[in-house]
Parts: sequence; structure tokens; C-alpha cells
Amino acid sequence: MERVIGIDLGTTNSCVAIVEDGVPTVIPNRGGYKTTPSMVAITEAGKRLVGHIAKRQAITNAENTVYAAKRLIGRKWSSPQVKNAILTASYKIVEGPHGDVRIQLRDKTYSVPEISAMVLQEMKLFAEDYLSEPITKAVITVPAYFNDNQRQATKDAGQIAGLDVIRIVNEPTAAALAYGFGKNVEKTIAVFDLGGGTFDISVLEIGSGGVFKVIATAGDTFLGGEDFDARIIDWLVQGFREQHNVDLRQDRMALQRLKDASEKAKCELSTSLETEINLPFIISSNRNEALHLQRTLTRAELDTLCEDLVERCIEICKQTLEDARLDRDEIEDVVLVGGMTRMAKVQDSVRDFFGREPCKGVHPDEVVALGAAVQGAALVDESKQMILLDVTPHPLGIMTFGSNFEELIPQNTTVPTSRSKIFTTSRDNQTAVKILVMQGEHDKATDNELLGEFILTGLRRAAKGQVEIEVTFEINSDGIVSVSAKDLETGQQQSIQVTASSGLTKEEVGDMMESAKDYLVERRSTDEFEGIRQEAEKLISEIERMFPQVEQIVASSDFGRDAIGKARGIVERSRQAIVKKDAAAMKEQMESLTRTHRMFKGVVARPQG
Amino acid sequence: MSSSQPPSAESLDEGWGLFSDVPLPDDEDDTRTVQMSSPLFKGPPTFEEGTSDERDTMPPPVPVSEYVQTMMQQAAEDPEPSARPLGATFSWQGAMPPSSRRGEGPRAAVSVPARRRTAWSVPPTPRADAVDDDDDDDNNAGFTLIAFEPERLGGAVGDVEDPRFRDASSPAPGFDDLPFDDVIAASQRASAGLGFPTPPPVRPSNPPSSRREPSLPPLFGNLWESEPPPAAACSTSRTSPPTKRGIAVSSNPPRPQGGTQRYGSIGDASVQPRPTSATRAPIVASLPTPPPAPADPFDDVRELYDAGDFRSALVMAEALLETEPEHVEARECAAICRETLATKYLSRLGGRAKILRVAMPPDEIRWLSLDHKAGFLLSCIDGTSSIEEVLDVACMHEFEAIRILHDFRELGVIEILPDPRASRR
Repeated sequence: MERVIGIDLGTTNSCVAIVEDGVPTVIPNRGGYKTTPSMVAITEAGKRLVGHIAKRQAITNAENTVYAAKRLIGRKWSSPQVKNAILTASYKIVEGPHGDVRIQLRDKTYSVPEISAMVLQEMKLFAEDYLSEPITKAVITVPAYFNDNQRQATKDAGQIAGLDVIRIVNEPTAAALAYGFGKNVEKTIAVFDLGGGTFDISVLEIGSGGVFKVIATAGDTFLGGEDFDARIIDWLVQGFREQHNVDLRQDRMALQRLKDASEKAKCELSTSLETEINLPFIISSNRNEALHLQRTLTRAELDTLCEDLVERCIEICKQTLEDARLDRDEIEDVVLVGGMTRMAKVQDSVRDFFGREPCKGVHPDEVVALGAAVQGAALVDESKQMILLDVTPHPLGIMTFGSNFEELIPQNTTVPTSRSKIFTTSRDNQTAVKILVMQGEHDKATDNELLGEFILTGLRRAAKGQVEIEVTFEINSDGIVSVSAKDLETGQQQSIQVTASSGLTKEEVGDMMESAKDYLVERRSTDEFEGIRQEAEKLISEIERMFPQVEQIVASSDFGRDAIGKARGIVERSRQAIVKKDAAAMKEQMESLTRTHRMFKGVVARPQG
Repeated sequence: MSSSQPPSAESLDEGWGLFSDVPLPDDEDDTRTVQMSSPLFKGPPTFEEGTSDERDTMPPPVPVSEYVQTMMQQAAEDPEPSARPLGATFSWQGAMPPSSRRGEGPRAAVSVPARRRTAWSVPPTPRADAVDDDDDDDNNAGFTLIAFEPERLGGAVGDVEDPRFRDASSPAPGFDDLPFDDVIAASQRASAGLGFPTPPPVRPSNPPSSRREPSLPPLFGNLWESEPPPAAACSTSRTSPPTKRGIAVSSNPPRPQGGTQRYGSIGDASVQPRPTSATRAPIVASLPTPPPAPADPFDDVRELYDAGDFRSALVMAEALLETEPEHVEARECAAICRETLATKYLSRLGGRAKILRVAMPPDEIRWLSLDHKAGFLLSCIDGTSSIEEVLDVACMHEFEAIRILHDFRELGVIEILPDPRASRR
């Protein structure tokens, strides 16, 4: 049975997991960390950096480091979120050829799915290294509010990374899956997900027989751990300015160190009451004098600095429960997801709001990936019975006279679903109507997202309001939306199938897949060469160390004198292969090097008379 | 807030003590290769690429006291100039003219008063070597003692303080620069009645690159002032500065001459330089001295580069590029120097795959003289990242980052761990 990995493709961090012997397990990255920053950078030399290493240079190489690509994935260039991102992002966002979004790094332009694919490819490699077998299938999680285009773009990203995305799962659903894994629970739970860049609150109903239903979901895509870090940075910068009259924000290196130190301090304050931030040589003064930053931050001070941010989370929770017409008492458990939920102030606020102790039985950083892995295992194992009922994240409807939005399928409707509504003509002798299929929460249609449009013609000429047209929305279990309009009098019908688009054509996706494969081949080759090189250098070093001793021994005997010359030749050729980065030549020399090394060791170890 | 706190008195003393013997990165530099074939020095030290210390300061191969003793003995036992080793190479830095170390009768009359002899020192030079003061001290250590005992050495110590002949930028001549063979040949000719050798033709004046064309050794000045040589003897390739006596001056600067004691033994003929040319040099006293050509600032860079002192060459090339950004040679030289030094530093660091770890306690690091770039780079070293990763993260000019890492290691701030991933691959 083929293994399926579960990937939590987060805004700031990603995580990969797999079910091994029935137990969901998180796969660590090469550095041993279980989460990997969802960051991609291109260095001055054109080298691609992904994960922690990209994060560590994110400020000093800000123009060429992409973070929070998830906020842009599947969005159109004209969308307000993109306009907002253009203003705030440090990297350059440009318009793509299909009205999509592209990101310019150095001299190349990348699509957003391509950037996400780089992260996914990294996660895939971690899994392959861990399992020592190729991985092709994956379940990827997305926020519950992601629309069809965003989901499709995520699928495309997986495809570019060489993964067959067998299911896209909502993050709160995945969290609930991990929460309910191995338990026979029937509960209504809230998933409070405060990650690095986003906040999501979801209410789910876990039914009997492993049925998970998202009742409501909401959130803020610009509220997360980074905002908390920013408060600490502000505090440090302000204090430093007061003391030295130097603005640390003017220096990127200083700012990078502040960012790293702030995040570290924040994490430390989750377990201790105070922490010291010590950054020696953070900047040089006007008099070329090195200045150091050393401050102590207490948990109480951090709570004060971030009070309003926590309050915002609670406000969203309140609104979500109201929208779902749920009372706090009806929430039977609160699952904390995301690293920021480790903060004591957050936990206290959640406890106060929901009136119960939040569940700490799941790992906040890993729970979503674990849930995705559970779902993946269930999908390939027919013996496992698990039904996932997703809901529509946004209301679906059509535009009516006066640019109003008429909702047909409300938000949080469980799919599959079908809803119909009857409309009439708005002008006299109107023979055709244009159906604009839209998605969004706004009453004004132009503020919502246009999914597709079609025209129903051949209507009977009559006064306005006389002709009745039935519009039907249908969403199947794969999330594909079909919209039809029918003239009730004549029975004439037109329909459209709204196909999600990531903004990339099939050809583009194919080309990107090839590029990703080439990169992978090149990288594996580099890794392989690096491994051989290190081994060879070790052998060369040891052989050279033994040379004098061996020469001395050989000099006193009549045998083996030519071996010294040969050994020198082997060492020289190996060195040349290293310099030329010739992997094939290196491989050829490895055997000779190993043999020489063995021979030298034998000569040295032999007792000399 | 307690940022940038001044150190406490106790920790200050302690902190300085820790690094008193550690050269700071900026002070570190290459000095000249020192090779000595004198019988005094067994096993000439050689500069080896890839040694742990770039500075090639040569410690006295024998204890100073022993060295002085040996020299004195040799001076007493070996009065004949021909018995001296020829062609030996001395470091110009701090080395006294060899003949000055030996007291020999005829020139004793021109020796300067004893109180001035204690001022024996080679004038400071702008060479890259001078960057490292410590090195200077080291190099001089073995020789200055001799100068402090002039009488024991026969009172023949030259005085470089003579203002007429002193050239602050002029290095002391080395043994190999001395035209011993020529002088001996001249003296032999003189004694054999063959006349003076033919002086070399006059050549156009070179730029006043004092390092390339050092001025006359000081003892010549003393000699001339007190005992002007015959015109014939002077109408050779002697160079500036012209004397008040109007001695013929050639615009061709001489090779550095180490001292006069050797010449003293062979009379005035000793001032005859190498008889290399068949044509007699014209008497040029009446001709105006051509104005010196403007010095090419790149000469210094080139010289340092030729000497293998890439670090100093780079510093000078960069300084030159600041004033002349379009200087092609300087730019190319700087690029080559950077590349060479980067390779050298990386080699010493063990290669890009090696993992770095901070080896110095934070309290001690604070007392280092680092700038914020070095501070940032240091913050990138976490004990798990390889040099390659640190360079990627630093986003600095790669050479600069490698240099700082190299200096960190030299200072003991960081240490290198093997790459654990090598075994995992």
C-alpha cells in the first residue's frame, strides 16, 4: 500500500506527517525541527533557500525572500487582498499573464503555486529521507475559508512539487481528526488556531462513526505570531532609541537580529516568567562605537504589549459563535492549534471566554499535519471508515438588479448540497438574462468574487417581473459548483460548471513541474557530490597524515617504494576532481583512496623490527 | 535598560588580560618571508600556505643572547670581509646592515657618537608589514640589542638618524641587495692597478618608490661628508640626494647598500658600485636633476601583491579604488586578492561544509573589538549551521563574511565542528 503524507502548508510554518504502524508521526526536517518555515529565498548567487535558512535571512535579503505566500495563492491580481499585500510585502508582486499574481525574485518571476511548490517539495524530501522511499501522494490542508481557486492553486502547487494531492482538507477538520483519533467521541468542539501569520476559529461537530462536520469558521488572515513579535521589536527599538538615540530599524542586520531575538524571547516567556534579550554589537554609533542591546522582558510586560492582539482573537471567537447561533456552553472542548497558543495570556483568555480549560492533549504545531496524515491513511485504506463533511466557506449566489448580491448557498453549508431560487426579469420585453455566479459575504455584488457567468436566452417577451427563471446551485462532494438557469415557462435551460482556476494553464503547470524535477535532480547530484567530497577529504587528510610515517618505514625496506608515488598520484587526482567538482571522477578515485588508506593503515600498524 | 553598559573595573582588567596576546584582525598581516642562509641560522624557516597563522614573523632562531654572542665572536675572529657569507637574505624589516654589525678599523673614524647609536632603528616603513606592530617588535628584537652595545661591536654602527640621508620610507637593505661581489671585484681591481670599473649608464629617474629604490645607507653619508671621494670615484651611479659639495649625481638610484665597513677595508674604491656596464657614466653635476615622475599609487599594491601579501594588497587596492574607482588594475588586483584570500581562509576553516560553534563565553565576546557586521555574523553561528549556511544567511559580501569568520577562528571566538550530515548522506 502506497504511503500518503499529510502536509500542513501553513502561512508561516509547514509540517509533514505520516501514519506509521497506525500511529500518526511528524517527520522532522534535516535540522531536527518538526516545523519548517514556509519561506523561500533566492540568494545573490541564485541559490534557492527554503525553510529555516530562508527565514534567518528574511530581513537582510527582504526583497528576495517570500513569506506568507499563502495569503496570495489562488487570488486574482485585482483582489483587495493582493492590493493590500503589494503595499505591505517586502518582495515584488507583479501581475501575471492571466490576471493572476506573480512574485519577482532577482531576475525571475514565479507564480505563487510555484513558490508554495518549493516548500511542498522540501517537505516531500524530508519525508523521503525519513522513509527512504519515494513519496508521491499527499493530503494538504488549507484554511476553511479558502475558496475554490485557492484550493485549486494549492493542488497545482502539490502537482508542481511532484505530488498527487489526493485530498484538500480544511485545517480545523484536520485538527479535529487528530484530536479525535483513536477516540470514540461525539462532541462539538472549537478549534482555536493562532499560527504565525493567521488566526482561525472553527466550530466542528464530531459525530458518531467518525463524521466530522465544520459548523462555522472565521478568522483574520493578518493576525498571528508575527504581530506579537513586532510588538516586542517595537519595544526594543523604542528603548534603544531612548538610550542611544539610534534607530535600529535603519539597519537590516540589526532588525534581523531583533526579529530573531524577539521570537526567541516570546517562546521563552511561554515557560518562564522573564527572559533576557542580549544582542551584543547590534549596531555601531555615529562615533563608530559598538553598541550592545541588553534588556529583560517579563511575561507581564509581554502580556501588556500584546493585550489588544489577544483581545482581537477573542472578539472573532465571539462573532463566530454568534454567526453559528451557538452558545459558549455548547462548546464541549477547545482545541488549541498553532505555536502562539502556548502563550499563557492566550490560554488564559481562551479559558475565560469559553469557560473551560482548553484541551492540551494535542501538539499545537503538529496537530493539523497529523490530522492530514490520518486522513491520507484513511483514504488509501479502504478498511477505515471515515466521513468528512466539509462546509462552504463563503456564501454563493448571483448578482441581481442594482448590483446586489443574492445569496443561494449560505456560508458553512455542508457539502454536497443543492439550492434553488426563482428570479424574474427586471425590464420589459427582456429576452435574455446574464447570470453572474459570485462568492462572498458582501451585500454589494461588486465586492464579492466573480466565479463565472453565462447567459440564458430565448425568454418570452413580457413585462418586467412576468418571466420566471429558476437558478439552481449545486456543489458535489468534490467541491465542484454547477449553476443552472431555467425558464420555467419554456423549460429552456443554460448551465455553467464553475471550475476552480489557480491562474495557471495546464501547460504552465507542466513546465513548472519539469523545472521542479530538474532542480531536484541537480540538488540530489550536489548532495551526492558533497557526501563523496567530504568522505574523500577525510581519506586524503588521513593519508597525508600517514605519509611521513609510511615513507620512513618504506625507506628502510626494499619494497613498496613505488607505492608512495602512486599514493601521491591518487591524492593529487582526487584533489583535482574535488576542485573541478567532477562527481564521476570523484567516484572513480574513491576506491583507490580507500585502498590506499587501508594500505597505509596496515603499514603503520605493522610492528617494525 | 542596560544596553552598552560600561564594564566593571575588575572584569575590564580581566578581559583585557585575556586578549592581550591575541592580535586583532585588523592588525594581522603578512610580513615578509625570512630566509637566512647564514651559518648562524640552522634550518631556515619557510612560509607555508595553510599554516594556522598568516603572520610570518620569524622568531629569532637562536636566543638573542646567543645570537649576539655569536656575532661578536665572529666579528672578533673574522676580520676579513671576504670570509663573510654572501648572498644571505635578511628581512629588511629591522635588519641592520650586516657590515655594521662588525666593527672594522678603517671606518671607525666615521662612526657617530655613542649617544646617537642607541637610536639605531630602521625607519618605519609604510609597507604592509608595518601594520602589525607586534610583528615589528618581534622582528627587531633580535637586532636592537646589538645597537645598544656599539662599543663592543667596534663602534661601527651606522646612524640612520642622519637627516641628510634618512629616508623614512626607505627600508634597510638586505644582504642579497649588497653588491659584495662587485665591491670585492672592484677592490681586487684597485689593488691590482686595474683602475676603477666602468660605471653603469645613467638611467631616467624612477618614481620615488622608496621601497623599490631605497636610498643610500646612512654610513655613506657620513663618509662623504667627512671624506669626499675623488670625482672619478663619485661619477658613478650614485644617486640623490646631492651633496652640498656638488658631487656628480646620477639619476639612477643605487641598489641599497648595507654598510660601509666592508668598503672601509678597501679604501675609497669601495664606493664604486657594480661595474656592469662598459660605458662610462657621464659627469652630470652640471646638469639639472630631472624632476621625479609622479608615483603610481598602484606600484605599492603591485609590490605587495608580488610579495604575496594579498591582504595588504587588497587593503591598498581598495583604498586606491575609493579615490580612483575606474582603476582597472586595482580592481582586478582586488578581485584576485579576494579570491585568493577567500580560498585560503576557507581552507583554514576546513571548507564550507564545516559547522561552526561559538567557543567564547558571551561575557568575553563583549570585550572584543567587533563591528555590528561581525556581531551579526556571530549571531548567525548557532552550532548547527554549516559555513555555507552561515554565508547564505549573512547576506553579506561573501569574502567579507569569510574573512570575519576566519578572524573569529583565529581569535578563538568560534570553533569548527565536523559536519554530522556528512555521515548521514
